[in-house]
Amino acid sequence: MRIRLITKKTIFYIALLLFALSALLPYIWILSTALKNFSEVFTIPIRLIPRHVTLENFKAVIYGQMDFSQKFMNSLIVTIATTVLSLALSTPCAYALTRFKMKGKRALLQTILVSQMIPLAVLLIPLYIIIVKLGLLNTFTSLVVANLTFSVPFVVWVLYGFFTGLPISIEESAMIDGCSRFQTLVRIVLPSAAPGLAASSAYTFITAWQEYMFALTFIDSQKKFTLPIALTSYIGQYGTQWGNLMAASLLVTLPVIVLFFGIQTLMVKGLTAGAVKG
Amino acid sequence: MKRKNERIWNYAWTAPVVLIIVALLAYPIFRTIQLSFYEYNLTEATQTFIGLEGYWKALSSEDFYSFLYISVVWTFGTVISCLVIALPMAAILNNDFRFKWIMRSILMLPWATPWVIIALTWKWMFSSNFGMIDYLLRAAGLGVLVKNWLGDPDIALFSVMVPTIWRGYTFGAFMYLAAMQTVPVHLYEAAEIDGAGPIKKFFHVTLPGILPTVVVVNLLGVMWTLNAIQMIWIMTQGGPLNSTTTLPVAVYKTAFLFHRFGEASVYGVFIGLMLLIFALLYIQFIAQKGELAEV
Repeated sequence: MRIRLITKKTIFYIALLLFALSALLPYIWILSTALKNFSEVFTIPIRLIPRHVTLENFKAVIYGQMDFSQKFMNSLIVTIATTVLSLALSTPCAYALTRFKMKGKRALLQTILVSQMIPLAVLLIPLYIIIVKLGLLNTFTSLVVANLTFSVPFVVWVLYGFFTGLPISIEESAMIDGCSRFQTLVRIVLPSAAPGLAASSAYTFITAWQEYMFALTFIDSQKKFTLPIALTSYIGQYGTQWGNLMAASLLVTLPVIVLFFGIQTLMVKGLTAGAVKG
Repeated sequence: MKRKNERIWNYAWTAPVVLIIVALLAYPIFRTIQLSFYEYNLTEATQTFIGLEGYWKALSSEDFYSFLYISVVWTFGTVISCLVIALPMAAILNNDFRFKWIMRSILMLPWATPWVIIALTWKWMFSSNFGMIDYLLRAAGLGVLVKNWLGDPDIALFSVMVPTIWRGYTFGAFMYLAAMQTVPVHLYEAAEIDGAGPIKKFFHVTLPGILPTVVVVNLLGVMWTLNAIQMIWIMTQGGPLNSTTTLPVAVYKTAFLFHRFGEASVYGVFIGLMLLIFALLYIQFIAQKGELAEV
């Protein structure tokens, strides 16, 4: 009986270890490559722990021809604009849907749910034509506008869930005390819906930060590149400097991981509540 | 009078979102369907009506069926693999053990990592000669298994699926875990009295208890995976020899490399039809679960 228990435990921990290792493997490889010098990246036999640990890849990324800081700023502008705009446009809508008597409420909510399932491949061509016609090719505006197609429906859906759960009585007494609808929203509702606002803005930030297809399609001037396309555009050029690329990858991933783990529980809750996009 | 004004103002709160839906989602769908009946010239922005010709062309070309077949293998191969890996992982995490939080954090890492980075990293891991996969296989004495992972048309699709599964299954696992924690304990106790072992308990108590979550996660998984372009685009650009060209990748290629917008729109319409089936199932299902009931 004891031996059975021990074998059981051993199998359990081996399974655990295998899951952990397979999840960590790519990160070990990123780190290992990023810390190697150029020649060691292309040396056989491969060593997971570099012979000479060096930060030269990071220096090359930050000060080199990739112009990392410019691409970082581009990404930051697009991402923050997307997040702020999505929240500003979606919050009143989600609030109205939970509090006002309106015709077509149900239809609007269903449309919002469905619109999260519209395939990108269907949107890309018409959006491209619109953006060409408006002369917005190679602008950050085009990316922000395109990002709204996924962020707005998602944020409305998540916030709708949060607002529904808030008690109306406090709002009613605030309005009796002379607050307008808008004042009630800003002073009473938003503070208590803070977790929902945080989760949906973090989610929007993370998704916009890594957005790839719109940027690939709408931007072709190097100066306007966001980080995702800047990174992929370096494959193949000058025989792909994987050391540089992996160092840059780490720098791109870090902000997202910090944000993600900072609000981990909120993210999981928000996604389970909204459960629409991954 | 004041009443009526107030009513109209109520609609103003939703106006920006309605506008976005109409202009950026509804209109593009209409436009894609419309374009599928035309030949579109981008440089002159002119379109010539060709009716159903584009559809006949697609339906009578071998390429189209190949794209369709690859889409199906890619989508269901990925989603089923994710399910098969995520279920045992959720079951493992549902136990109490030391350092559980470390394990949870490690397994959330792929979920928190940008897709682009995952695609880039795995491309490098799969690269011949200096890549990690070949190195590990050789180190384990499995050198015969070394392949031209992204260059061999027979294997490339599988190679692109691996990182997609690696990134995808953790989402399911955490959803299943959350669902497992809501399965009432007394059901397990009853099963134990009946003499059920851990495997029997899993199939007779856990699985039925989390079934709604499994259905939702996998319906979403099918829609996300079918739609995903960027993983494939970064790793293989649909190659070699179109062996990783799913329908959405074909849309992208046809439109933005060959500038045949009409033909691409035809493919787009087919994707829309395929997704419609799963979207309807999904809405039907969550409506049944009552989540839309109070709407």
